Amino acid sequence: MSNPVHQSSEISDGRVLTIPVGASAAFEDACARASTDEVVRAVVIVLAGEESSADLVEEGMPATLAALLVPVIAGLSGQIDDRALELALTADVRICETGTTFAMTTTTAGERRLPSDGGTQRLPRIVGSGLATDMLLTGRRVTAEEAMRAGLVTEICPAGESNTRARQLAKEIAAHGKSAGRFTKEAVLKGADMPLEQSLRLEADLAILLHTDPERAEGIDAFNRRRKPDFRQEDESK
Amino acid sequence: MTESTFETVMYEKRGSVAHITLNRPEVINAFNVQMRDDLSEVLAAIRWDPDVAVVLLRGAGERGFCAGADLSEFGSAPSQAAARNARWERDVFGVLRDLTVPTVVALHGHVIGSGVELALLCDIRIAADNAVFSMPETYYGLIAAAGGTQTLPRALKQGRALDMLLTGRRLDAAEAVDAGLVQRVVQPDDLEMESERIAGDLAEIDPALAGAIKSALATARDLPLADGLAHERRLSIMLDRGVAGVRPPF
Repeated sequence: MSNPVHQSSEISDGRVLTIPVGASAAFEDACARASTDEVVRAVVIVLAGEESSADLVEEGMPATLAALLVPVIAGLSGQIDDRALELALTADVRICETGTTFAMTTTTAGERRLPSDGGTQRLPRIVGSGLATDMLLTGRRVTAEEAMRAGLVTEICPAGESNTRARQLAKEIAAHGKSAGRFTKEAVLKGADMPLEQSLRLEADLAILLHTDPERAEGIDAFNRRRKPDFRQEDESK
Repeated sequence: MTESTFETVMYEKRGSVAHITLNRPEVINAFNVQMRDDLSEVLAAIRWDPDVAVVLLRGAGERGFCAGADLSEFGSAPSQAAARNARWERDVFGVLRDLTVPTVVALHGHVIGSGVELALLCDIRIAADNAVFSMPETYYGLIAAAGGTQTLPRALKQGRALDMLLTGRRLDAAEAVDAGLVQRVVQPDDLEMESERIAGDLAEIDPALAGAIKSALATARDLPLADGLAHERRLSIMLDRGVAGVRPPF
């Protein structure tokens, strides 16, 4: 453990860190751990929009989660609205339960404010400008099925299973190469803002940088011997 | 009709259609250094051949289009600097992407890793309904390095691309067409005929027009709207004037 102060954070199998939403301090602590603890390979965030999910997410939380280099999986259920949606949009892989709905209501209801935790930027980049404009201007609620078609989520699981399923996916990602996952995330997110030619340079440079990573050698050896790669040695040497 | 057989690739020119077939069926056309070099030669010839109006790429054998990079050859570069030099000295992926003639790829069976990446560098992707797509790089501690981290999110929605790249999730042909990874799906028995029909139709388009459309689409991808509109207008005027002998790139 690199930081004993954080040992109380919820963690399963040592490599998947679940970041709690609700209390700001616990959220910030867990995010700090996700960025400093070399053992963490995937992060799970569970958003259950039972009551007013938007109120659980405080201003600035999406920016904190978005800054993580490690892949983030979001398990979603209930009503994922406003800042909760903005937080979900900073995850890399989003799955939801059947019956989950999504909306940006800040323009049309209540305080009538501009979403300011990335909603106007990440939503169009993730679902396309047509649906994003509709959601942002009219507040229209989107079903899980429509979210699936739009690429807002990539899987719909049965009711009550989003937590389990998000952890499963996180465990799969955590079993993969650590730098491979982080570099892939970086290449996709940072490359999206570049002209293709430059973004391909970024990808190639990250791929070459990965040559220095012992996990790459382990992965190739595993492939050639037709066995499952075992990246645990890296963690145990820490 | 001209035909050339390389160690790993078959190249055949029928009329104005350049047929390229990945030809290592015993290993599901795994992409190795020899294939890179063979493809590099074929694409260099196509690039400067005024008779080629369209390229049709496919994989030999029943099992699939391409099972990805041949990892048995990975890690053989003497240094990172040498590996980086090699990547850009023979940029076969860049040459395929930048061809000014339309490119069609016919996909069947296993389409994995570099197989997906090769397909994403082509304009029209048609898949047999038995095709299965996946990006398993991170499973082996690698990242996609033939453009996949960039071309996949540009073809698919970003979330789907990240999901495929990070989890290794497989898509079947129906999911691939829904996601935008391929544009068309056909029965396996129809793949050859249908891809050749599309290639034939594309070969009928004036090469200057086809090249202009590809150039305009690349601009739409990379430039701010105002600059893209200016480029489109410029291309349109150039084509209207019918400047004799003008060929892309513009």
